[in-house]
Amino acid sequence: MDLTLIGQLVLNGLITGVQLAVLGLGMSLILNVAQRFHFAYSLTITLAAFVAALLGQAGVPGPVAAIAGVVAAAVLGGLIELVLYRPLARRSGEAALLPIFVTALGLAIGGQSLIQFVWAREATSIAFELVPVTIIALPFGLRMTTFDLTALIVFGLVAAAGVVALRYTRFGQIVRGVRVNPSMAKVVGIRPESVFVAIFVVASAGSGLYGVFAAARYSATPSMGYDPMFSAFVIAFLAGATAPGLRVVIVGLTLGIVQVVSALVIPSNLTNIVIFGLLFVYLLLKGSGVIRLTPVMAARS
Amino acid sequence: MEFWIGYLDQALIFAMFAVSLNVLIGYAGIFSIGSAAFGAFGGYSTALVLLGQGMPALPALLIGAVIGGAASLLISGPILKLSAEYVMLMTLSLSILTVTVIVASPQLGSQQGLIGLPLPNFGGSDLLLPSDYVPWLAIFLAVAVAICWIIAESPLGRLLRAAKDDTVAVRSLGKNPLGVQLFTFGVMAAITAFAGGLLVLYNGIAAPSLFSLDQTMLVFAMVIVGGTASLPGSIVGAILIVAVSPVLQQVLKLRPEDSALIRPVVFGLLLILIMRFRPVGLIPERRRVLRPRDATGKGGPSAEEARPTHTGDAAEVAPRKSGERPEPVVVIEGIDKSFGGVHAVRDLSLQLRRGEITALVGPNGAGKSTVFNLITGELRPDAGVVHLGGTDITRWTPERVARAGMVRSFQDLRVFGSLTPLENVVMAGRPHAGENPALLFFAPLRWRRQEREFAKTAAEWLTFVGLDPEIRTATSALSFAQQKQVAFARVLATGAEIFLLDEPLSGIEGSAAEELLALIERMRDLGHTICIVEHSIQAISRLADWGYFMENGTVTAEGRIHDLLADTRLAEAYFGIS
Repeated sequence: MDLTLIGQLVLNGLITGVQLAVLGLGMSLILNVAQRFHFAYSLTITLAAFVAALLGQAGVPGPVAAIAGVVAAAVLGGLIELVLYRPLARRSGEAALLPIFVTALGLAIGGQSLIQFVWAREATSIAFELVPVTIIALPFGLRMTTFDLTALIVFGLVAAAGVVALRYTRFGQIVRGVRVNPSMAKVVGIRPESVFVAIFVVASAGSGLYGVFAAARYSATPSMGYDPMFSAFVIAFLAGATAPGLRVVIVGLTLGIVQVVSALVIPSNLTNIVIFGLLFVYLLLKGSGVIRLTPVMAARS
Repeated sequence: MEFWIGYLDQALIFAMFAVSLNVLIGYAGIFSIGSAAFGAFGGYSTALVLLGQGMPALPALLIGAVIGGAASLLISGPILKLSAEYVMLMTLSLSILTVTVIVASPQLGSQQGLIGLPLPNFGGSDLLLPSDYVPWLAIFLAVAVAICWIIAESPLGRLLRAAKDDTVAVRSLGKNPLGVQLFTFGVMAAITAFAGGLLVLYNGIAAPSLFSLDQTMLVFAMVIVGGTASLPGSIVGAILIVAVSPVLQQVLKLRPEDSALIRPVVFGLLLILIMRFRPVGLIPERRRVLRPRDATGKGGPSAEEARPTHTGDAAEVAPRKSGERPEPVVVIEGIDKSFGGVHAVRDLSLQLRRGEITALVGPNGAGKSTVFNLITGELRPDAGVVHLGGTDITRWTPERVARAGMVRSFQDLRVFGSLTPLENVVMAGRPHAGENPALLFFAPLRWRRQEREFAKTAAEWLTFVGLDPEIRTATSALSFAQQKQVAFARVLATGAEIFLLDEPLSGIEGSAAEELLALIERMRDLGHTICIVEHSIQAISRLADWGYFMENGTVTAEGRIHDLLADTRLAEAYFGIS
């Protein structure tokens, strides 16, 4: 086996994984703290990608366009929670899973088609240049592009900041408190509903960041949000409801590496099957009681 | 005209997708997002059979349905007992990956799909025009709706609804709903696969675009717009959603390519608005609830008539000799249970004796309810054994324990909120022929006769506990005290010998509490063995023959209840007084 090839694949896996980790962190917060089956996560990914790509086409510098995309995703995420999910959750109480999922489904379907109708009717994909791409030679015959290096640094910093914030800051303390016991959090003066909005803003910004980099790597397409959303769900579920941020990041990195390395044995467009297989085995083990996580949502359902 | 008939054909096919999904979501509470995947299994199987074997269309469709149903069950079945979120994630994953695999498989025609399918031939004639399909599709839809209706509006459907409300409560009554859930899932997946086959035949091609994630969402939208647990609603939803496209083209004069993009926007918006302003859908659920007159042929039983003739398997109580206690029927020896670092029950031993009321008393957090969970199989002890009538039942499931004659009530009632009181109590009867899939379809007279018998008995039990069996509203809409009566009637109707009653008096007072106490005494007088966890000292001292005092997960004292209550140390431990 060519060690350089394996090293290169692991490096590529890390680059993919750290991006998935950021995506997974956001989904984990949305699922486990805000308790929303947020299918419209795909929409914030796609919106950010299109905003950045369109601004880029209009001559706005790449990083500025990227920031605009991230902000657009964050605003949309916050609005979704504030205007759509919150009223449904108030009305439906513990039975809010289906109404919120259906609403998210409507958003995802309608939003994606609206984006395509407005921005991608003629050309189904829009290219976006975030940074000029050159190849960097690394030790041991490894290589990476300046784009990959940028992704590794940006997503690495965001993932690290997320883990630190959740573990050591007042915000993290509040989030953990709301996750464990929203009623008690209220007693000590925390408003869980405000925390949910904050989570949606932060998580959607993370998904927007992913979308912007995905647009720069491939191009912005209307259906680009589904696969990463699927990965984000898997990471959040595999990491478990009580997981601290670090475990989510580790699961994300592992999934990225497994996905890329598995391309050695199966076609690269089928690597999602590996994720599906992992999920299936996990659920089988969970079903038979071998793995005993106690997801908050499952416990409350 | 053929233009519109073409859309009618599509509506009929998608209505099959929608009614089967609605049975899963609305009745069984299985939140499947895998419709397109199940349809693809059936569609591609049908196409492969047609191309490979040259078989006529109908057998090919049926083979596709069987393969599709079996494949769906094989992949999704193992996770059905997990919570809704996992089922959603798994079936969503399946929808995404099925198309990925199809596109990557040259054997399945990749992106282009399988082409060159023969014209479908039904009844000896080829189907050329959209209008040729209408009668056949209508027949297939009628059969699909009939199957869905039989499953949904039957004792089996009631069991599905009960499990949707509370699986733990269903199992505590001696029934495991997983079997009927798997059966229902398999049948609905097969109907979906059949519809997938029809979609392939109708389009003359098995292409991945027919089974994309968008199609799953489309079907979901049909169910939600029409109304969950409403089969007519699903048909209306399918017609409306399918009609969006031709209306946009013909009425609003949009180009087909624009209409294809606007259509998802419209039904995405519809979903959001429906959930916000009319969550029950356009045609809300309407079902025929079970009524006492189904049993008697006239009105329900009067209070005088309602004397339950079935008092369970409780043995006759032998006259007691002075000072001598009856034989033990439940023996618990040294059970232990920890949750993480919390040692909830430790080395606990106790006995329940035939025909006695035994009380578990102790301060909050002593582990009393956990003991009930351990005895009834809801939790597995880490150590120790539980014997019922001399048989080791330590590793038994809750339903097996219940069937063996030991049934519990819950502090938080766990009534089936969407069912009426009568239907709640009917759930507690003996195994119902109508809950058996084979008997449901092939012995309708037998299960209908049993349904009448069960309704009659259930009405008697409800009258016995003082509740009107004619109440036709959902139990969740009743007062707490009424729900308590329902829960108690349900426990009694199991006919068990041993009842474990967890806080039976909590939340009720006055005459309602007095009536309940009298009922418990009557059950004891009828020979039942009862174990009660109760905080009301008055109730305990009136009811209990024997008591166990629990502290920190173990028994620290036992004896005649009046002796226990007179012990100052125990009183201090219980009340915090000296």
